[in-house]
Amino acid sequence: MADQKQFCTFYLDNHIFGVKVEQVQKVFRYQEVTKVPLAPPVVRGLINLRGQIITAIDLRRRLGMAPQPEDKLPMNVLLRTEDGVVSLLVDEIGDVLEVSEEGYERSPETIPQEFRELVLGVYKVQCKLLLILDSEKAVNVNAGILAT
Amino acid sequence: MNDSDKEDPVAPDLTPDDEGSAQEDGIGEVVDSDKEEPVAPDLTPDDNGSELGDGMGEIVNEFLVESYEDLDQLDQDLIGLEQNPGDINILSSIFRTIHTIKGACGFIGFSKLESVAHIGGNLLGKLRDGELTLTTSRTSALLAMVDAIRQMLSCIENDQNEGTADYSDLVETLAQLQADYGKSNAPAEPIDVEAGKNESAPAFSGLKTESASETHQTEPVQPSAEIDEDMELIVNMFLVESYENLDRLDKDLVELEQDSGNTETLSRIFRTIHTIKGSCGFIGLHKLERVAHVGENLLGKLRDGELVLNPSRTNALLAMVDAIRQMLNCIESKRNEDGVDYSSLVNTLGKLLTDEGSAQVAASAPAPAEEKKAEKVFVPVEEKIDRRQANPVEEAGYVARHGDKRFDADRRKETREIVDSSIRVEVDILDRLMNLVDELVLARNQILQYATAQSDSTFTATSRHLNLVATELQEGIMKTRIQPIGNIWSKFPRVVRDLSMAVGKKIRLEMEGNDTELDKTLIEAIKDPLMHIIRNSCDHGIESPEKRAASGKDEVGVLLLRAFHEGGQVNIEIIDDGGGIDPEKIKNIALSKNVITQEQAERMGGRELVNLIFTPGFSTVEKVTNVSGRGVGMDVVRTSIEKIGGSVDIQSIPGKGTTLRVKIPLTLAIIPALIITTAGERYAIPQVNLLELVCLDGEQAKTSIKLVQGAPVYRLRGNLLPLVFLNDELQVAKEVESDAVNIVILHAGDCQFGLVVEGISDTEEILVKPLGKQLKGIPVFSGATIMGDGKLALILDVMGLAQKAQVIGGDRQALLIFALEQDDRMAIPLSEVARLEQFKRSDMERSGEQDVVRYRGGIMPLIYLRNVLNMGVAQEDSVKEVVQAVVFTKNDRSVGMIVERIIDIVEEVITVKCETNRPGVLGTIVVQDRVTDLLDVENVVRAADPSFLIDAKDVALVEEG
Repeated sequence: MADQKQFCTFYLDNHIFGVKVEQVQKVFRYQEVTKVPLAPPVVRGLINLRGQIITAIDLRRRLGMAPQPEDKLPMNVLLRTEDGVVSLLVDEIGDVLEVSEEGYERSPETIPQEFRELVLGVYKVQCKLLLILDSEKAVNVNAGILAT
Repeated sequence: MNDSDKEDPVAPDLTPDDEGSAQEDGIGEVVDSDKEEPVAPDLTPDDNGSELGDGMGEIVNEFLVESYEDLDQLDQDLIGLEQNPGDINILSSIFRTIHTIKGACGFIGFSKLESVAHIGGNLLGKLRDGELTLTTSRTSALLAMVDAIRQMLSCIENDQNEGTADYSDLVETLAQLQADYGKSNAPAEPIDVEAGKNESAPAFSGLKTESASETHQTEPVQPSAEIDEDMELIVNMFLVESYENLDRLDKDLVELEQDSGNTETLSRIFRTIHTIKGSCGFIGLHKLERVAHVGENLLGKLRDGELVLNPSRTNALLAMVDAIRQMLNCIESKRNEDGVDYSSLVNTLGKLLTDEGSAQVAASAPAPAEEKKAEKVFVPVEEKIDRRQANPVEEAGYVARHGDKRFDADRRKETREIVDSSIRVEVDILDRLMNLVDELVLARNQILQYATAQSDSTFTATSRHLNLVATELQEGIMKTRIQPIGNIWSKFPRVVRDLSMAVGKKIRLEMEGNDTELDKTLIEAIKDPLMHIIRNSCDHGIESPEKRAASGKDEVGVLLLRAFHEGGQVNIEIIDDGGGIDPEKIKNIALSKNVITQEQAERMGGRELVNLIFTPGFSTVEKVTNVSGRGVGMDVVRTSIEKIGGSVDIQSIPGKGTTLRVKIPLTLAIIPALIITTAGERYAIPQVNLLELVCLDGEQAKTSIKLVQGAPVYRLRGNLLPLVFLNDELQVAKEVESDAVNIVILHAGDCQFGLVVEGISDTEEILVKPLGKQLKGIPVFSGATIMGDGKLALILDVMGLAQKAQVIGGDRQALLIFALEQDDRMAIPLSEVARLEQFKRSDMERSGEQDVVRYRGGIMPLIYLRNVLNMGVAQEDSVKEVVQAVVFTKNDRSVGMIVERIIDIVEEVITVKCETNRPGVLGTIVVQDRVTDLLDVENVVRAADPSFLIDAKDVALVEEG
């Protein structure tokens, strides 16, 4: 089937998100994050991943969601992007789903307004909506001088 | 048998019968060298030889790879251009490509190739500038040029020379195609002709060689010293290659004997011998070359089927391989071809060229005896050497090494030292090793921590050993990737000398910071741009001796190369004390070439204008020379430096000189740094910014830290240093409350300040790693590093920190300089400026009391700075068609401040010379030796529009004008 696509899925609250499987380098457990003062709030900090320094982005905050409860530790989804490797902090990792192109739809009205900007579209998967994340946009957080 | 070569009728087998004839002149010398010429001159390389030899290993290969890619691109572009003749982008791209090839050729010394590319470049330049239009004949000629270049490249690849084909027809055609245009070509023409003439010169000679040989006459001592050093490298490279080639030869020859009809093997043998011959030719090893040459002739005949392989021929060929190997040994140990007479071998090989001769040889020495003959050839080796050796110790050493174990298997091992001393490793592998070592070091650290709690003495001893090994391993791996910049600089003295000769100038090259270390990939990336900049400085920057004398300067111009680490970056400065760049001249050229419009030109400051030389298609010099001045160079320089995340900036004082500053990040560089803590986190401060450490206990702190105008200062030996509290700047909470104060005294540029931190740890060598794009915008950090325990520490950018903290007297800020009247100057920090705009008077509208303009989907109020500053309305304000506005944006709202004209953007250390009571003016500063008022932007804006700054609580200080 030519129009099958694979997505790596993860959970935020009770939403399922997906990014193209080719964009994901790996997923891994919570790692200690070094905070960066003055960084935009969506940047949780830096992670040392086997000698590589990686920026961790709090996807909940990026989507305008409430933070995770204190006692829960997020998981890392390591993405390859145009600006290098970036880690997205998510609640939990899901399966790799294979979906067919036919189930694709533009973002419906029902998804929260804050998501709209970062969601490319949705797939209907087993009565649930798989939200496809615009990963380039999601990691495009500029700590510009103008932001201060 | 040794004598027989004198009357040998077959010897003049010099008739070039194949591509090997490229070495025509070399062969001529071979004939001379027949008569036992002294050995030493053989090794004295001609200038081009040394340059080339060095290049053979790396540069030429790189050049070939790049050029092939370029040529493919060229083919496409040319075809595209023919279909779309007006496309200036394609033209520029073609032009740049040709220029790159030309430049590289010139540098490596492929003068023939260079001349072809040069003339093509001339034609393309004219096409680009619109002086000529593209006709079919021109396209064909250009394509023919591409083919010619490709042909020469494959010659270079196979035989390491440019080949014999004569391209003067092509050069002439190309010259004609641009000449038939006439008049304006005059300045370029003579050079083309000269380039054409170079055709007739032997391969590898050209402008450079000529000038270099002149130097040999005038100052023979210096160059030879230089060459010796070069020579060492070249010869080693040659040896490594040749040994490999010989091993292959042995194998192939044996194979060939078993299967004498195998033309593939024969061709391979032929090529190998030819390669050796070619290399010998330009390093000046004429004896070796000669032996290889006769062997090659024989092989050529065999290959072409004129002769068949018989045992005597095979033996002679194997003997030749042995002879070559012998000579290589000699070269390796003694640095010269030994004085042995190989003429009998040469003779035999020569005879074998004909069937009669072959029969003769076979008769005089039947096949089994052939081996002996080879022996005989070698025997004199030792005898002659013995006589020649002046140093008995060396002699003994030589005999021990080479004489006695000539056929010993050990010999190979011994003589392969050079071969084994270097291997090529892919950078990727090194990268991976580097990461693995980092991990190993972390694991080591954990074990060490664990080990301290253990009492088992074997375990602690082992972990200590592990510690040592891991540390050494880490250092070793890092060394593989990091090189001192001196590695590429070492080429420049030669380049500068040759260039200065070529253009008739006197230039002294000085270098500082040779040992500045940076990553190999970066070194590679900046090599070509640097070369280009240096060429430019020599050609255009430094004036001729007469001109210098006339303007009261020393006749000898100074070109200074300086490299140093600063603020997590490597700075490379190329400073010349030449004529400098005249902004006015740049402006006129830029206008005439339509690089900028008249309006833009008027708004541009001196420095901006000077930086225009980085625009594509810009050349300030009408005269196009072989060296530089095509106007392609500088934009290529900028592009390639920006590609590796660097920046380049030029500053010039007309009459005094030019400073070009290249800044590149040291993504992988190691710097010493001081580790400090604040709010529980560690930070690294680059040692270069560090002056001293001060620790004050409670009492001292109270007495020596004072508040001056609300800002804390510390009195250090009579100087007042502004203090910056790191936790305030980073907006993190203080963790430890203590009376003691730790102050790190830092300097950022010309200013000093004290940084108050909670704890000071230690100095460490840290590996700078860049921050992701998401964090690039924070000026306070320049990168991050991984500490020994695997945790991260951010590296403070001291300059950025000083700027953010607005340390008094030390703000090196970019300022926008503008004027409100004819002659005054005012400044705004560039960081306050959102955009510079101009509005037509007809676009300006009125809303209530306020002039406004529609701007980016909103309405932007306009402020007349003259009014606000009580300077009165200028007459021309209401007359001018177009007004200049500085747009200031805050909280998503913009306001346009109308000024008379924009003068410049400068980077200055701001020192407020005197406070002022004038409303809207913060103070007076001196910028570019002129008194300049610093505008108090916020107050001015507030005065004009109190609602603009929503969270402003202060009452407007400035009255409405």
